[in-house]
Amino acid sequence: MSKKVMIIDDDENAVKFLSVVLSENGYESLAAYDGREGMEKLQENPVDLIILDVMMPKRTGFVLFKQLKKDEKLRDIPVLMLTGVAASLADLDAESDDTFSRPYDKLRESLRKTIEEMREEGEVKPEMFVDKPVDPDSFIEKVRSLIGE
Amino acid sequence: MQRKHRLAWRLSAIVLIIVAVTTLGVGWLSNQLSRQFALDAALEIMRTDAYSVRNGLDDLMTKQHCREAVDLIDVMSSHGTISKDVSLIAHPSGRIATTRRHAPSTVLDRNERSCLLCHVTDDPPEAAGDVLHAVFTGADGERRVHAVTPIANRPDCRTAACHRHDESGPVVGFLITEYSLAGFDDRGSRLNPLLAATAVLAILLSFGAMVLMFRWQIAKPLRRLAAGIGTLARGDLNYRFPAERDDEIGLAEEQFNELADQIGAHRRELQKVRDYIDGVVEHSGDIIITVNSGGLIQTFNHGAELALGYGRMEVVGKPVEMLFVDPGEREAALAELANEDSVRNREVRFKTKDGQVRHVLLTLSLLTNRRGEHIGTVGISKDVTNEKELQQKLMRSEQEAAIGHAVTAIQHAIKNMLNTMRGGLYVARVGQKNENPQQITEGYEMVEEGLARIGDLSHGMLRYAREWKIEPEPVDLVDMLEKIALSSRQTADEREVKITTELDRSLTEVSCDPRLIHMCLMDLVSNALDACDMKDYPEGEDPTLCLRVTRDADNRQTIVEIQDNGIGMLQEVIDNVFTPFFSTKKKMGTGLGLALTARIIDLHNGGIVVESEPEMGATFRITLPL
Repeated sequence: MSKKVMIIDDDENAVKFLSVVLSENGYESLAAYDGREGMEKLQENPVDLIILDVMMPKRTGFVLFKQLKKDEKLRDIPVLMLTGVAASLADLDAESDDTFSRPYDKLRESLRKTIEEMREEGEVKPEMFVDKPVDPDSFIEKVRSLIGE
Repeated sequence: MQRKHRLAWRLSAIVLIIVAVTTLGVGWLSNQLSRQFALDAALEIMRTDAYSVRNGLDDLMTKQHCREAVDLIDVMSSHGTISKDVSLIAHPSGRIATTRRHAPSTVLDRNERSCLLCHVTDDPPEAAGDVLHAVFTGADGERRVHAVTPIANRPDCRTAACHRHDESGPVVGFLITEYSLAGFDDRGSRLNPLLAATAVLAILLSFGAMVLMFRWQIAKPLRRLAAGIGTLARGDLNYRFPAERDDEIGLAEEQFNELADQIGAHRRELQKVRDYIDGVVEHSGDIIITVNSGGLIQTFNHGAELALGYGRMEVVGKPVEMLFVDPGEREAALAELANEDSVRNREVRFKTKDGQVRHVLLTLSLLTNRRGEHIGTVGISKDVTNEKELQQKLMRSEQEAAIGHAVTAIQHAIKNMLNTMRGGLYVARVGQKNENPQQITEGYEMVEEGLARIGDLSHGMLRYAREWKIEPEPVDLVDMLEKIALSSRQTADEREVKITTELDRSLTEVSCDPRLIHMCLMDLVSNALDACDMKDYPEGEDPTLCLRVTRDADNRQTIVEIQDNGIGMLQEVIDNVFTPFFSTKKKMGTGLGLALTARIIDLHNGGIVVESEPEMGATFRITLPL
């Protein structure tokens, strides 16, 4: 029986693409387009992996993540988080010598801070983050490393 | 003005005149008094004589000897006591005549016993009233006094045979006497020259004494006071009077000392201020140069020396043009000064001694003297060469940064779109492989969407970059907002957002470009609807959007507010919300909408600000000048 993956993202195109990638690789996928819908569907459908977009309206990925970790039933399901800034998070860690602050820098900085805090609380690991949009091969590799074939 | 020491003389002369007039008055008065005394003395003698005559006559009557009476009268006449005219009372016939009340011919028998009784036993007859007198001056200047002494009537002896008495009259007759005042007047006239000489001598002596006294007591201290004031006026503030006088001059000296103290204190204060100002000018980092009306440098402070490399001795007295890179800049500054009275922070270029160009901000003011005449200019210049270079560098940096931002943002947007298309192609290829036509269609739709968004971006960029011109006309913003609310209602209903309006209907029309302002407001409303859509509303809270138009308290600006209770923004987003290409909307945003809105409001000389907190909604506030 194939493993089930829940994709929670408000970007329909991203959901479509990821579900095709997953089904091509033998996974079954479910989709939700916002945090609330995602929580509702998760209550009814047990899954093996949750793919969560960080930047989402209504409930952001982080809020949803914290809710998942509080939920007895869901807390042990591995989570893969999609961000637009995963690569630049690494840049920030490497202390870029770019002197000009760009409009997104502050946003990234605040995102990074949130992630730092969650990392300290032992809830997230750096490898949980995947840059979005996603290269199919590396994405599947990540999924396999978390839940196997 | 040549001053003569005349005060003592003047005062003495005045006093002298007063003394002389007084003396003359007193002399005249004493003369009058002495004449009166002479008269009084003469009258007294005359009265005594008249008394004697009457007594004598009485006596004679008893002796029954008229001749003796005449003799007595003769004797008295020889003394000058009795005038010959009185002879009327002694008739040569040896009978006593009465005064004219009785006829001269009335001769009485003095041997009558009744007369004897009366004249011997009774007191002598009293004068029956005041002695009347008059003074006559003869041609020789001799004064003579004529007196009329009334003789009282004795009614009790009216029956006497010696003389007949009128019963009714109080007076039976008058004794007329005459007396010369020559004797008294002679004595007075002998005394007067001596008195006059004494008076003159006394006046002269007192005049001299007064001159000396005035000189010593008044003129000399006044001269000393004047000398002191003169010393003070020449600038010697150390002069003081000894406090040794207790009179008015001493008071004046004391006041002088106090004045000198105060002037000294003021001068020290002034000097302190002056030193301070000199110090400020000298040690100011600014270039401070004063120039006279002929354009020649008068002062050149240390700041000027440091900035321009000249020593002040090299430039003082030289034309100030030598410091300007372009003398035309000085002329332009002077022209502005003539029009505006002062020039503030005008950018000009100075050249240093070694030929370098210094950019300065020149503040130029007119120097005027006490009479208000222009005597030159004072220029305070701030060397901003470094700042200018820095500013240019900064401007280049900012430009580079802006380009960097734009490039990054565009790259980001394009990357997203390309990825959408790449994803679409992947889906389509998988669909082809699996012979799944629906998947193929979906894939192509994704590609199309990406293409459409690249088209949107390209269009948005063009729209943003084009030159916007506003065509203002009077616009009823209340009406415009009502229409916007109406036209947005359908979309709002679909998304379950409630639209409310708060419109100040007293608002007059605002001058703005209706097309562009409508576009901006529509954009803001659309954003607000999106923000409501993105929020997960808790129980009891409904998505709400409020369109508001009011005026500020000063009635100088119109305020338009688009308020939502949507998802809100982080401070990081607020800070960049008007930055081009900055977008947090995944699918639809080009990041140019708010940037363009801000630009258009800017063109209207208005302002746009945003207040927001995450999950608490946002308020965009546009102000437009009324």
